[in-house]
Amino acid sequence: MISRLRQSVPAYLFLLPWLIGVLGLTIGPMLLSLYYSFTDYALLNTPEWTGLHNYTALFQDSRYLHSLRVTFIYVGVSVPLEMAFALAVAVLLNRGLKGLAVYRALYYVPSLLGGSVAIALLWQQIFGSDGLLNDVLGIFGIHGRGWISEPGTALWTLILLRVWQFGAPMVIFLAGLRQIPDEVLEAAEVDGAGRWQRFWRVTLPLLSPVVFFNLVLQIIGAFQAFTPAFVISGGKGGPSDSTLFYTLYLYQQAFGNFRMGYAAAMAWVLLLIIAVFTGLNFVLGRTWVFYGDEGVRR
Amino acid sequence: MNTFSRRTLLGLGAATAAAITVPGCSGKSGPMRVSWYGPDPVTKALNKALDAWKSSGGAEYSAESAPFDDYWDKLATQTSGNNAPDVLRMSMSYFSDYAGRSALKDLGSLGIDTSGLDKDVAASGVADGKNYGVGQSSISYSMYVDEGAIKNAGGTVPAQGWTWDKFAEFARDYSGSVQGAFGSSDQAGNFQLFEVYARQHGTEMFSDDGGKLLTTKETVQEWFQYWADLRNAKAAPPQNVSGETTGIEKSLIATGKAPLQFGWVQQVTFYQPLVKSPLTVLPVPQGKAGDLTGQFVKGLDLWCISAASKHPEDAAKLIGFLLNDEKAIKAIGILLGVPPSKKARDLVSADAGSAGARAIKYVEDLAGKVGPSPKPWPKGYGELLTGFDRIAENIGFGKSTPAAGAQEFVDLAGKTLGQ
Repeated sequence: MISRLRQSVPAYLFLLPWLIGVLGLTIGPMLLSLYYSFTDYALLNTPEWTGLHNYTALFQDSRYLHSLRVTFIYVGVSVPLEMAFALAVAVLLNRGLKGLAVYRALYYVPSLLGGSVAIALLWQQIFGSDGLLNDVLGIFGIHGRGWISEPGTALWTLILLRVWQFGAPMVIFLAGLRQIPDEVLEAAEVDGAGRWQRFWRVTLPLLSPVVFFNLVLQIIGAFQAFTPAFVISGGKGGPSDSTLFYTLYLYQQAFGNFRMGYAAAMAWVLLLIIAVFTGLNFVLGRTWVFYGDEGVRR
Repeated sequence: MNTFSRRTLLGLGAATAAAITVPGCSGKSGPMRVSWYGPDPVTKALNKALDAWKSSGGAEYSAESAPFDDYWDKLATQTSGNNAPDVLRMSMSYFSDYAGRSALKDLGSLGIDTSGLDKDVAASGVADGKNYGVGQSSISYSMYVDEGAIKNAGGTVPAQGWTWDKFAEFARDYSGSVQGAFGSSDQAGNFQLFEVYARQHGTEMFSDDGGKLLTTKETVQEWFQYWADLRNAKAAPPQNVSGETTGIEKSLIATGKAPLQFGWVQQVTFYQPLVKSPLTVLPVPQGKAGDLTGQFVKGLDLWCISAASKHPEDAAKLIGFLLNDEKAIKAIGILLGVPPSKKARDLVSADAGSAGARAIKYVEDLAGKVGPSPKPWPKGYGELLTGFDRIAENIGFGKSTPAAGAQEFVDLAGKTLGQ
């Protein structure tokens, strides 16, 4: 026993930096926020216990419900588009292109930059009414509009910004495509399968675990999107609340209106929503994700 | 193995928790911190004043600054983390939120010399009988008018400004005669201009205890309707244009697309460098011509000391220095508002013909004509400020009507005030 203890102590010592991080920076604050979500906490006072009040108030708050709707549209449209785009580019790049590494890096760069303040500001310059897009449209005689300053189009510029960051899932798709054995594809070709058939019947099923992985990650990431909406709308979620993301409304309540308890409740509901979507993904995934070991399991 | 490892884990966990909480408690020491909001010119001026403090042998300090909106997010976080700056610039918009939650120090016993200050300004930080802040300036709402542009368009500018009716008429004429320009920017979402309008309708905006909205729904509706009419007549820009012209550099007056701009009087010095001809400072439109009782002169920005300050004596000395020292007064000029003492005003307006001198003259001329100052804005004011703007924007985009918007605002006030 003692010797075993001796064995495990160094292990925990090595784990210590990580443990401090997890306990102090993740679990501690999470538990505290769970507590705040049941209180009236105005950031400057001591929290007062109010039970479930924050949670029930959420569903009578029309701006909250609106922010949910905006976020669902954002996730629902941007994730499939981004995935499709990433997959398409990955398939193209996988066809033995010369200078693959260069293209791969080039397409990946937006993913690194996309969440940043600088890119959000750049987006403002492109889609403003005196912006680059309208200059280009002007060449063709099309009279543009203030894409960001109109409620009908503002959210779509943010969706576009997300799709533009397709590099991260693309790199993962590319790695996945590399894993698909050439023999299988050749065998399919010998059997007379065309290009589309090979893609739908062979490539995609073999790639499905990677698709699944990307889908889960992208949905979670999209629900948590904050920076672009914050920067592009100047923290307001405007015009006319059309880009009021869930996280942005949460931030406004917490730091603008001193409703930290309410914001904490919002955060936990968001966690729940993401958990439900991820769970749903895993359940549905059983019907279409093919791990290649199904035969063995049976 | 299992029991041991679990126990070891728990022990480590406890040790970790202790390790984290111990340094967390000790807080930060170090030099006094000074923090303020404002655009670049304000930051430059205050840094210059702080240099004067240092060279006159003042205590060590470090300075922080941020634009208005970001400043409040940061200050709220710092305050809740017990890490607020020692000396901080406080706006009346958030004063009650902080003072009412004991985040500010009572300055009563700290001996800041306010003897030279105008009485109104010295007392603008008093809440519940305690003095939580010293006014930095006395200011009033105003409009800055490019008279040259208006004369070119064949219009005239009344010496006391317009009535609301005449203003609408003027705005229509101006946009009719100058291609691609508007008579006015859209002020529907300007809650602070609306306060003047509301006072012109006979009541203060808020009850004395800050628990209720006194302005009626009808007044709010009338206001939204007034600007909707101007937008419909193309005398004010459509909502999507307004959305892109909020910054000072992008404002319609800076780009020559409108001949006037509304704002607090000292802000004329931010716009003047961007407009070629000198800007005239005028009272905002009135209900009855020449009746300025809707307006008020008040200290709306304060120097405060955070309740958690570890250097209250130095902080108090620094505030006294910024208010009374000649070098500091000259460095700050009019950037924080019209200086709060006669001595300071004389020092600053020596530069006759400057926008600053005109702003000072404007406030001096107003004194005696304006109505009584309102009480400090109530807790939750910040939320109403942004909410009013949001509602106006919804109306501007046709997603709401003046009547529905007015109701929404009254509901919001009912929910926010008196909490």
